[in-house]
Amino acid sequence: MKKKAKKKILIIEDEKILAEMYHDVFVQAGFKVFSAIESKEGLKITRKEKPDLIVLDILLPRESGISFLEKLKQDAEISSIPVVVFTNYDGQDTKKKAKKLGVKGYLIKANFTPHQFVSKIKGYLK
Amino acid sequence: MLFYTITALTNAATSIVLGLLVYFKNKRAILNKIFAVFCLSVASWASFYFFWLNFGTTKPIALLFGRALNISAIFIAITYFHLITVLLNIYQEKKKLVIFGYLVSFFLFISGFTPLFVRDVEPELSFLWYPKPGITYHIFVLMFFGLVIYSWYLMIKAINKTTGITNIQIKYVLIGTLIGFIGGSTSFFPVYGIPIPPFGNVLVAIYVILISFTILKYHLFGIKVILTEILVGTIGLILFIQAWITEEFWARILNWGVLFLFSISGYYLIKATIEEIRKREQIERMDKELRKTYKELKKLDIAKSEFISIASHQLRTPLTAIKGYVSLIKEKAYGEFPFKMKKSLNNIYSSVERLIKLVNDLLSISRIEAGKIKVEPEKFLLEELIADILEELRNLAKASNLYLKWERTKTSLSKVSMDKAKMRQVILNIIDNAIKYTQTGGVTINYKQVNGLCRIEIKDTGEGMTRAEISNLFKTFSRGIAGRRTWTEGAGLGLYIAKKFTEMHNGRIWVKSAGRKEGSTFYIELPIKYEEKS
Repeated sequence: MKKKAKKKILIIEDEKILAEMYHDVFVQAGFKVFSAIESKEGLKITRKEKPDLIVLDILLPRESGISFLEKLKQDAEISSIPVVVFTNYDGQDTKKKAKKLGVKGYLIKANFTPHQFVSKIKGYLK
Repeated sequence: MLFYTITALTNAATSIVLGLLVYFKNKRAILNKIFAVFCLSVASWASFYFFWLNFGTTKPIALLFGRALNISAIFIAITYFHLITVLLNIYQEKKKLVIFGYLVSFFLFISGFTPLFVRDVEPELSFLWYPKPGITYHIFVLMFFGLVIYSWYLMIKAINKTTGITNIQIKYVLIGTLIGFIGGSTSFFPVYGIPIPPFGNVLVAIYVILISFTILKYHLFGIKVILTEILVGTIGLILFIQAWITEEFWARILNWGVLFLFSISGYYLIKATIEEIRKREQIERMDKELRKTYKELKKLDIAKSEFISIASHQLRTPLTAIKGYVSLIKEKAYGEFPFKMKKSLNNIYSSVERLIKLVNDLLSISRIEAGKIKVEPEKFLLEELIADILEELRNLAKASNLYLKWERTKTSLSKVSMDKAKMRQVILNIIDNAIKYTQTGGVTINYKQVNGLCRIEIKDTGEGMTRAEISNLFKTFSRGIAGRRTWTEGAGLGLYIAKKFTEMHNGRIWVKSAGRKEGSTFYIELPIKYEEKS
């Protein structure tokens, strides 16, 4: 029987501790995980690996998550990749902008345990 | 002759008064300065005209005043042209021509003291002695009409290009100067032996008045004082002349008395007008300051909102890491852990959850209080949200040995249109509150849809409440004694937010309890589809 291909997920997160934690949990849950700590690197990996879903933080060094989303939407090759914003920053304007740019969800990190978050992502990928 | 004398006096008086008033109204404005010089030229021309008429009975005196009045007239045209270039905002473009005009005028001024300018005086029409032109006088006449006609041309051109108040101002000046200069130029006819008397001189005052009015239109408040001063001054002058020429003793006394009383009331009238304008200007200043302060406050408000968002982000981040790692240990992601650690881990977990909830609640409250929060509806299944919340709180209930039961309805439920994040906070806060105040038993949740409304019931077997407690329950965020007491117990804040968010969805929230130790039931009822109130 042919083994089912692993789902690819890109986590763009600049907080090292959190990035490590989510990386490990998603690997344990059977995902192929890519990590980036900033928008530019994230775009590079997205273009190369075409992940099934992107987990995006908002407050990133140099460029914000919103800027990442804008650039993603401009690139036809990767614009349809679903993005879930996963951040502890919930400024109302940012939330609105992200939703306008078509994100699947805007989740607050502190409200989820890593496993709850993995289930949530699995739900989005169904 | 009396007609010409009165005309000359009127022209001189109006020019002096208006020139000085406009100048003192705004000493620094270039337009006002040039206007003052222009008025000075007109005034000195009109004054010498008066002296020439009244004292020029002998030929030498008539020649002296005849030269003086024409020398004064030299500067009328150039100052007028200068004024128009400033008014039309084209001074820089016409600067060379203005300077050239002043140089020619200066040359004419020098020649003015010689027979080259006014060669002689001769009897003309009804005048005893009328000035006759020398060679440079022709240059003066040419320059005079050249500059005046060119100024008119510039104004007509500007009228087509401008709008609003500037357009009106230019029109006033053009009309005024057309009347004034055409009238004033009748003085030239007898100079060249043309038998037309200089009757048009009377019109000179009109253009001085019209230009003054126009200049003062820049400061609309100022004009009121000027007009009052002109009115008081004119009436005062008439009364003065009347008192002066009255011959009968008692009538004279009476006239002086009237003038005296008028002077006092006139003084108070001007003072009151100035006071009124001062107050209006003060209000205008205050209005400006208020607008500025409002802008600054708005900026501060945005900065504050941003600060709160960033601060809560910074607080949440380490809490996320603690919550995440503790939950992973608890869920045995790193393998088995000693059994005696379980209680400690649960305590850490519930403490961190409490802190996260507190940060969320504080953030919500700061936004509610700032009136910054808006409902952003989206379509979703409310039962899925409830399931998520119950999943989240299951551990908390389990830690207190409480059941968390959801009596699911068998009928199918439609999607709701609400602000998901806010509804999450409402339901979570109520269930969390129920768990916190229940010692034994548990919490039962019920959700149904009836007549376009969603109704969620959260029933607990806990503390229960008295009627008095119920009536104060959702009012606790008042920073009063009761509020502070409730705060320390850890509730109040959550219920206040739940109530506010429910109301924002045009819903209501209430509680029923049979009394102490009887448990409570919280009800949340809100439209399935949120519609913004118009």
